[in-house]
Amino acid sequence: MSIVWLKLLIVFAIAFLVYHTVGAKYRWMILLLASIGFILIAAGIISFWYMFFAILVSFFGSNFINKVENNSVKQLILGSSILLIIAEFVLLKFSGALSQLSTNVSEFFATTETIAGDAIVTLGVSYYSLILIAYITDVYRKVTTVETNFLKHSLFSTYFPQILMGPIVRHKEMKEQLFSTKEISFDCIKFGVFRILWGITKKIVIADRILLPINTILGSYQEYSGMYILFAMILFGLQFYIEFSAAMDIVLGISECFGIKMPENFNNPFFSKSVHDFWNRWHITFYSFLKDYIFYPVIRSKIMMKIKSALEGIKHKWLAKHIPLFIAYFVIWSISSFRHGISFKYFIAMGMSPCIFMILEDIFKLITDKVLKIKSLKNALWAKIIQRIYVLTAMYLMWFFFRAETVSDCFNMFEKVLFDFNSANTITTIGVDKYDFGVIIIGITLIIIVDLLKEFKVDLRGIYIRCPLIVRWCAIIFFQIVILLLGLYGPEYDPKDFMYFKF
Amino acid sequence: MRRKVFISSIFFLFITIVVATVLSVIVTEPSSENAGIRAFYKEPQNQIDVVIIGPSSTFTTFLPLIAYHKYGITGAVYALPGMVTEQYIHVVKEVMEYQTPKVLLIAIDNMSPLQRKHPDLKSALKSFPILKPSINKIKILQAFKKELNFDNREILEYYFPIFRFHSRWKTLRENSVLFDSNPHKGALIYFKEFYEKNSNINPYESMQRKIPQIDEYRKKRNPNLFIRDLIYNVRGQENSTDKEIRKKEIAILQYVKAIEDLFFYVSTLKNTKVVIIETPSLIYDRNFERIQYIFHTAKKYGLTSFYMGNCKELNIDLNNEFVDEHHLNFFGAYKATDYLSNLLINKYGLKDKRNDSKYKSWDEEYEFYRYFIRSRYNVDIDFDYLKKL
Repeated sequence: MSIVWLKLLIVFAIAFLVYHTVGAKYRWMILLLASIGFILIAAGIISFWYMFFAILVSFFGSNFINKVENNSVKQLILGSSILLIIAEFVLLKFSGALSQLSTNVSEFFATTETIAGDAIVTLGVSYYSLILIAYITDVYRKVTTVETNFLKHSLFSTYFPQILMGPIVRHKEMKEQLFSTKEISFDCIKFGVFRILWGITKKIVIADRILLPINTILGSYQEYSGMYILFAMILFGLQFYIEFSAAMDIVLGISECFGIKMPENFNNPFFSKSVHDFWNRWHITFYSFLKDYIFYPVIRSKIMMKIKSALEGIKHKWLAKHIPLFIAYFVIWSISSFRHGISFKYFIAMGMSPCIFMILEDIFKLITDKVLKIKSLKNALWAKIIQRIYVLTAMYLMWFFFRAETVSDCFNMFEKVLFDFNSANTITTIGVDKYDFGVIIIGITLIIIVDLLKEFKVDLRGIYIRCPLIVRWCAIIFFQIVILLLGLYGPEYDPKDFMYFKF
Repeated sequence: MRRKVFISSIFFLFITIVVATVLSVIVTEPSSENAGIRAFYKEPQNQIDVVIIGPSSTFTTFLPLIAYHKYGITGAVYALPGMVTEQYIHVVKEVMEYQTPKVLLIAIDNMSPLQRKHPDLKSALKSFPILKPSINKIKILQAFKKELNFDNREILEYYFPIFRFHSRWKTLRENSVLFDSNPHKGALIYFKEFYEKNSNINPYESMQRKIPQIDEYRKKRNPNLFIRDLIYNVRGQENSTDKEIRKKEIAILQYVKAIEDLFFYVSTLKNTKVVIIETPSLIYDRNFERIQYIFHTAKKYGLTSFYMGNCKELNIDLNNEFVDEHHLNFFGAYKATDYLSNLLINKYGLKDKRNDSKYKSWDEEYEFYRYFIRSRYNVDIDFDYLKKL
């Protein structure tokens, strides 16, 4: 866990005490001060000014949209505001990569990562840009009311728990909570603290530890057999989920301590029944943003309507319904891939891979729906298992590309997995000893149990809150001991940042 | 609600500090750095004749089990690696809370002004968790931190060594003060280099070029001029700003005050004789003026001083009986212990306790020590040296 997250926790600790000391009507100001303070100490004054620009654009844009009557002018203001925010986003995230590509286009296929030299300076640009685009659009669509107070709008834009890794919130769901003067239930604080500790445990005890064998094997995959590469990739999928969900636990836990419930970003994605279902459970707020602000507008656009009419004209109802869908899938997943980085690797991993699987699922939906309607299969356990295996296979194909250094490395690893069965290495040569491996197994088991309970709608929050005081304090002490003793931190370890932090 | 939040927050912080402190003790490995202090706390009250306090050079100068076996003296080494001047008085107070030794030896090796960075913070961190929780402990830690510059990570590790040594959780069963709680009267059983004679490293050879000779001028120079000369040196530094010079001057004056406070306090101890000593080292010539100043100040308070820096007098082989410039190896330490024990018996009339059944544990520990060192380092601590001496 890098120093930025430590600063987040320190800012949270101070803000928490002040927040619960001041009068209810001043609480939002404390959050605003904390947010500005966090941006300044975590990223510096330059990051603050970039963010201020985006806030100014969205504030004036939304207020003008609200005041103007003419729809065309509204659209013009909407379009300009969004373009300005996107321009800032592209400039800050991809200026280095674009200048590199302008001299040598083949770099697109070779680069493993985009140039992220400015990413730390411009803290959270990926998240606050999307949040502000969503806000202006919602104002235009009259889904939410415009914020006329610049400071309140600034708080919504820069609310510090969400700035590092999301979730991508909507104004409608946040405005009541951020400026609420209602008394905060102590239950929120109880569970918030517990969730923060759980998130930190997941990150520095489990996720960082799982990374050890992954980096050892995949860092020099040529020396390992296919079985080990497959093992490392299976671990990678788990590690990716554990780490990202850990960040969300910390962020949502912090927010809950202020009595603010942010939307969940994960809903047991490993229990998905299809790729469509997976993306409704993984990085939920991002996919929801893509759907609401890109997918549906594309589907409902005039061009798509024309295509649909043309296809209906030649009596291809199925095509008329699905071709616009497929085009919309292509658009949203291309945008998703470029949001992660300008490289062929991300284009495949975060772009074409989910796009192709979604298209295939739609194409075969007729057959799969008929099969699943068969009584004996409907509730059959093996059918459900096959469904889960299919989804995991689809996701792991994506993650192979995501994790590999380059596309050619990915294909080399595939080849080894399929054809190289020489297992010369033992467990001791994969970067972990038996103690670390034991912690990994116990950690993963614990997370699976928690997710299973959530999948069966067990109210874990309610259970924890209703526990006697002594049990809750024992749980807190337990997590403190686990974090301090088993955490991977200190001079012997590189402070491993959250992988998704760079996006 | 506000009160609930406030109380819960305080309690959370308190619990976190307690957990971190307890874990810091648990992950501390038994080592040379903390063997002496652990042994000190384990001894019943009023059974220790001699306590020596000072930096790490003290535990390679006085070997309690050898002193007991040869002379029947019970001793303890309360050594803090890198001990700084302002810590001494608090360490003395801590020692006097648990024991009333007949003789208190204060080793002044590391009592230097203007130290800025501890060469090995990790060693110091191995001993701090062992100190009993008390006001003295807080003052000892504060004094150390005050004199040296720490970055933020070091400060956290300093107060809570769990942040430095947490990865030792894997070896706790084999190597923790929790499971290995017998300090064997402070015997250095983990210090491998201590038992190597004729090692490849000869610290004296590399030091020779650096040591200025003590000539007649230096011997006769007024010790009171030491502080004045220090201040003149500081003021003469061309690359320093006025603020830096002022800071150093204040540090020097604080150094003087710390020594005066210490000597004043120990001069008031009623049942304990206090002796100021300089332990053997390869760099005593370089520190000659400092040592003379401290001894001179000690004399003002009626304290006895004793200079062990002259290795020839102790018959210590400069080439083969040092681990490094500050620390004797076992063979040198044996001679130093012998010399010091003789002195303590003759000058302070310490009784021979070897036939007293109350001290049977010392005999048992000596036998354990002898067996352990022979099996691990192939050195017979009994026969090799008894024959020669």
